[in-house]
Amino acid sequence: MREIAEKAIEIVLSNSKGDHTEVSLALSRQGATRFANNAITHNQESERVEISVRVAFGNKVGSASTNLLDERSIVEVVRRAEEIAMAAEPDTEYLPPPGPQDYLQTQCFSEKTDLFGPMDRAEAIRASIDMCESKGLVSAGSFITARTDLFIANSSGLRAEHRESMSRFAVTAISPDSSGWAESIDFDVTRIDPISTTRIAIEKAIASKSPKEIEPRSYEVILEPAAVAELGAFIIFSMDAKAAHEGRSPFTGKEGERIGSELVTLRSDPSDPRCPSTPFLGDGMPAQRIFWIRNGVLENLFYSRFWAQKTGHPFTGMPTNLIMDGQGKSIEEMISSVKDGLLITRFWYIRFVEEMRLVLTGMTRDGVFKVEDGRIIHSVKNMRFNESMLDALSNVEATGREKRTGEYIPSLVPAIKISSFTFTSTTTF
Amino acid sequence: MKDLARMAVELAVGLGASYADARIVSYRSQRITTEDMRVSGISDSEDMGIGIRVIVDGAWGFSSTYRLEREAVESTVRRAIEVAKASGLAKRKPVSLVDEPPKDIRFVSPFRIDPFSIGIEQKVGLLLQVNEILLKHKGIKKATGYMFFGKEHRIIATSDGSILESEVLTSATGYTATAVREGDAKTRTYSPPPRTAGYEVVLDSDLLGNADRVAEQAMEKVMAPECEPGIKDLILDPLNLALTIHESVGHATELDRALGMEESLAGRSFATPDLLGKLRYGSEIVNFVADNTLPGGLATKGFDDDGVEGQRWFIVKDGIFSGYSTSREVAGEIGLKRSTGCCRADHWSSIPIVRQPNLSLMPGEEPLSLDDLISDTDDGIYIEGMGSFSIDQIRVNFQFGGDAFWEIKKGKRTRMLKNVIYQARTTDFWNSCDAICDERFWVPNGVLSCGKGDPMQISQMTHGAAPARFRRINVIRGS
Repeated sequence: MREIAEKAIEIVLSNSKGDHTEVSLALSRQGATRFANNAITHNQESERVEISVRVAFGNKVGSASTNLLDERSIVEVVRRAEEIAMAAEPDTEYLPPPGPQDYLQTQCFSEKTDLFGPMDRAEAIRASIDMCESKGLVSAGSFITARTDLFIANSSGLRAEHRESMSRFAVTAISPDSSGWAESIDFDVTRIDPISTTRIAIEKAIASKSPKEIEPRSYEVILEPAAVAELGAFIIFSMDAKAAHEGRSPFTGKEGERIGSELVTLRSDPSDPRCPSTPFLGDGMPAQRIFWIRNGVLENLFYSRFWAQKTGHPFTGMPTNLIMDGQGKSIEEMISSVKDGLLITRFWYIRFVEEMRLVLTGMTRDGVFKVEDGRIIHSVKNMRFNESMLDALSNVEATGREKRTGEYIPSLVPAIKISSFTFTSTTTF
Repeated sequence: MKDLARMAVELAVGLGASYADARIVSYRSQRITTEDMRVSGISDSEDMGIGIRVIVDGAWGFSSTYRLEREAVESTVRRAIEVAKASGLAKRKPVSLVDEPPKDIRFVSPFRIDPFSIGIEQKVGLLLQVNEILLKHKGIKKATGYMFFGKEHRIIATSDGSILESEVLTSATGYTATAVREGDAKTRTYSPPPRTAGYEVVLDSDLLGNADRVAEQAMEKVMAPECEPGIKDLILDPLNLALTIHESVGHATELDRALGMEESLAGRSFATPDLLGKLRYGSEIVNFVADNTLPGGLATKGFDDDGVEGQRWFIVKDGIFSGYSTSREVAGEIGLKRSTGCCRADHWSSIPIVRQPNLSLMPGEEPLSLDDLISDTDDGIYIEGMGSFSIDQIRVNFQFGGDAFWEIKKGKRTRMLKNVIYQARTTDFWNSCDAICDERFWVPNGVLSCGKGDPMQISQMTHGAAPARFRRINVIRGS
């Protein structure tokens, strides 16, 4: 792969007439098996490639991409990028591409994940289905493995290369009136345990049978790690410095201020072996080891190269992973401190309601339990929340042990206890 | 390319597939974005590959590659067979497809002006002009705009003997103004309906002519009072309804969901097959028609990836739940002899799944204008455009916002409001519909980024509607 990439990069850089040229090449392979109703329903393998070229004449910029790897097609994509750049109006925020950079060491690739095939996925799923069927439950889920090779180069001499793998097994166990869900994610498929993951889903499905409808209002909540990661992604991707400085953000005027409980620390670290991520960003700038919120204080917003230069602030770039440090409390410990609350497995369909106060809405899913006076008393039908994340961050009272989760941004977060979280409506199941 | 597709199918059948199809698709797309009088991005991409789907011993297999040399395609066919054999390890019953007569057809979406023949300068110039108009308004702190053009060329060969070809153009444009004032920021968006058509989508949209209105309404919105929560009558415009239809009717009536096949991500549906023909989904004036022949519809592609031609059918007729969107695989599960033709993949590397058709709320039969409807409403809110949206995974409890809100008092549209959110259960909501404007006010809007599947696929479809009124809906304050 490296030879193909180096050749393509050489063709791009030697054929470009631009003042500046950037090229990235990504080759990805993916295997994905889905199951539902106790059977495999979809099963697919794919291999894709993309070469993207960005050319600038002064600050007039154009981009083009192709998945054709022959020399003629690569030269053609350079020509298209040049034509666009020449026809474009200036991008006043354009900066010439960065020179060579140093990156954090990350270990994100497993040969075993790369070699994990359709029969391996099917055997794991068969075992999971058998476990669910033996308990009279219906199972559904997916087992996905992937590998990506990424190369970046530019006319300023930057060269970057990264290889990563991903594996994710997720299962939902379903009874006529309940469901339970669990997932396991790691770059190394040998650390995925479909059996123990399925066991958790089964336990939740059984425990959440005969759910009761309760009044939608504010409750104490214990959010399990998957729920925390879902909310955390909305919080962390709202932390753009430019938007804040332009008055369009919930974090406007809050840099350096306390915005959450002392228990809230959100950070990124691409080199954390428990949750490694790509060591560079799309333009080749290094992904940072950085605190966003430390002990409740908003320490950094994210600064693009342009905004960092304009404001004199150090460059941070976007977060490539989401880490929340926990106190190490167990779920049981947290439950024991709850007087009138809910234990929530995960959320579904979270969206912004009002961005300036970071108000989100969403539904609970696959296991909600009523907790009273320190113990679980029954399961609960799903409810809709409407809650400001600024308030939620301030109301964090306890945190658990970090767990790898997060489908869309690699996340390592604990369960958390929040003293007040508002639910506004109910549903039928 | 047709020969390559045929070769792949023949090889698959020779290797033991009881069914096979090969789909060779090429894409060309162009996206232009502007922000505050600068060009924030222009990209032009092309992409091409083949996806091969097989049934072996009653189980699905799928493999795909960007390499279109004969040897690579042969190896991809063999991989698809291997994948299908692995699927057989966890098979409940053999996959069975309902019949579809073989055909040899070519479909080209009509267009007046090829968007790729229009220079970048012209497109950028127009978007920057819009930026400039928006930013001239005091209080508008941000202006963004975009254009998107896509061309999809598709060849499908099936072991049923079909050979199909399509070429579909999609065009979209729009812009947003953000007003900032006294610690608040609010946006107003202009979203002309995207269509399977050419650059005429941009020319017909009057981007410049709407810019002053959009900027003024953004300013009015940021200064508007918040709504008082309570039970209100709502009048929803076609663009707001498009999303409500999409989430609470379109997804709920996908048969794969109703059969539990989407549980692992998108979820299931309350609208199960036992309710077909019985469930009162909406009031008697509510009719939802699926139509994959709708001119300009984003799901109008001639035929789906099962090779089934576009059709028109009722999803809800006179308020009664009447039909599903299906693939050839799931149609037989409820006794249909033919699929409704809704099986689509978002890319050559994705396996086709059941996707929403173009699905529309039909206009009222009696003459009724938006002004008539407002005049006839005592205490309500008129909502335009799309905003916040969320629905539970069986499509019962939903909550929507909008892009602009006006109070209605004693038959008059009075002042703008902000942070309006409405919340309901699906069938309660559609049963509360007591008036729909007539066909003069019917507008087909498009959804460009519908997510479904695991791994997630993104699809497009159109939802038409005329303004409609919904009685006694729970309105909350979204702040």
